[in-house]
Amino acid sequence: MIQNILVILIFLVALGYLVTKYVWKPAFLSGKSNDKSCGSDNCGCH
Amino acid sequence: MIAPEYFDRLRTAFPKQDLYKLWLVITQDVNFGKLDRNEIQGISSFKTESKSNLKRLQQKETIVRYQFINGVLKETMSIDHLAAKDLRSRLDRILTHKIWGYVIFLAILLLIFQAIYDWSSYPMDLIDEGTAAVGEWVRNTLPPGAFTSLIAEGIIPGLGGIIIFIPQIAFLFLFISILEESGYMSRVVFLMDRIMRRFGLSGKSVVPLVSGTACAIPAIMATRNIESWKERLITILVTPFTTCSARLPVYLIIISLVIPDQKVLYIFSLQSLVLMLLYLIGFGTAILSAWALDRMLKIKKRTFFVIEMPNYKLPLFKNVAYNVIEKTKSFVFGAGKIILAISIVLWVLASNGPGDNFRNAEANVMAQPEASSLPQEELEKRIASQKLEYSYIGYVGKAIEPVVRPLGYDWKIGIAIVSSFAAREVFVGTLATIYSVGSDEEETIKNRMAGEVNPILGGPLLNLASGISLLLFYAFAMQCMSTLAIVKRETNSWKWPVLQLVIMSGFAYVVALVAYQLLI
Repeated sequence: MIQNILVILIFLVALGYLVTKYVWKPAFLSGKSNDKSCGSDNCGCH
Repeated sequence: MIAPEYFDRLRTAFPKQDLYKLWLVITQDVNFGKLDRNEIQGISSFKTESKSNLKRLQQKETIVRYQFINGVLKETMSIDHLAAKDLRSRLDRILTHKIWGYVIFLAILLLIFQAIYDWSSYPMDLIDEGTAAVGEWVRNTLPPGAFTSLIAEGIIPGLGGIIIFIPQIAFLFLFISILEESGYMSRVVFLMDRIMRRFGLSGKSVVPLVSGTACAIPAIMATRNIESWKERLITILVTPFTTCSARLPVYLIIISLVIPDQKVLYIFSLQSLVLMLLYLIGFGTAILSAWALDRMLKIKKRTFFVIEMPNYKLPLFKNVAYNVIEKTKSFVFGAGKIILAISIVLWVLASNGPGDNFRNAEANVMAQPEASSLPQEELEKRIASQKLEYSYIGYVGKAIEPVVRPLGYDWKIGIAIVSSFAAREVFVGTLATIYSVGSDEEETIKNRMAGEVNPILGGPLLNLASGISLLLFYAFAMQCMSTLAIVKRETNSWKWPVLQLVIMSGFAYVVALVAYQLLI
């Protein structure tokens, strides 16, 4: 019984980590770093 | 003369001042705008240019100044490179030679791949056997149950699938660090500029393409020092074709299973030559795609090539060791977290299933007429196989199978391909986890994969045809979400990463399909 509960907990943590990394962050947080990206002029790298 | 009208106005407004001094004051005012300054009163007739126009004028002025300096140097100084007798000049003459430069570079590449395969095989075998022994120890020591099975069949084989490649990745970074530290890499950039120009790239594109052998993400960020936007965009789009370290585990395991361990010309191993060929295919595809993109993309470009040639020096042990440790650590820990999470999810999905077929797997196998005559070991294998087939992952795999079957793969490889979209190195860990579920034996990852049987044709599932098909699929497919995210950030548009994903993966599917159908 304890072993089953541990497996469920670990499974949920692993699933949560993957969803945060590949779904949540790219969908909701990626827009915030756009201002740092390099455009086509006057950013010092062209 | 640059902008004569502007400078005439400047001269008229400040007749007593030196024109060049005035120009420096104006341009420095642009660059150091936060400094305190006193405004000169009474010059209402003069209005300076906008900041962007001044920047443009400044660039033109710099070019004209250097053209002038070059002209004077040409008339007054002559350099005979051939007469130079110092070590640097002698080495440069050989290492950047039109023919020998490329021959030496190719020989160095060959040495690297030989080292990756031959030298690292001993620590790899040790790690592989060690991981299998740890799994067995956990199974025998901890009390039986779901948690013990998760550790022994899910987590340990999954992580084993990544730590086994530490020696090879360390060798790769060791050589790259030595080449960079010694000053040779800059010569390679110079050497390759001659070739790169013809394909719409810059000599500076070599740096991202070479860094791409470690990881496409820093490599794409390294394109920022390419001045021309078109050359930079092309480099960003083609860099994922170069063989990154995440592809290495996939290549290594498949090559060791399908390419015979033979020597060519008594020295080189056939397996290391195949590995080198895969690297060259990746590099060649990147170059050819760049050529095609150069003709397709309608972006104006102005290009110039400036590179610093450092002196040759003996690589510092501290720097090389730091580089190797840091790069290997970031590979293992970066990939390790993802692999650990995916291994856990996969194990749970493979160890549980909906419906009676999964729950009654044992009874169904025992009810078969031949069951009574089968040895215990074979019976256990059949039960494990039946359970896996009717587990959650089994149903997902079966749904994918029609798409991957024409390439010679079964549903288990299909699952590994889908999960490795997160990161390519997940492929080996996924297969290690799927093949470990229900297995009570102390087996290495390689043995488990070698033991898989093709359900339709019989014989090993990973034979030459399906192995080559899989190698080519991974050589071309865009199997990395993080790279797509970084391309989006660097190009500031979803257009380019989406195009990259569709074109690269579509191309990979077609090439893998053709290879399998031709070789079968």
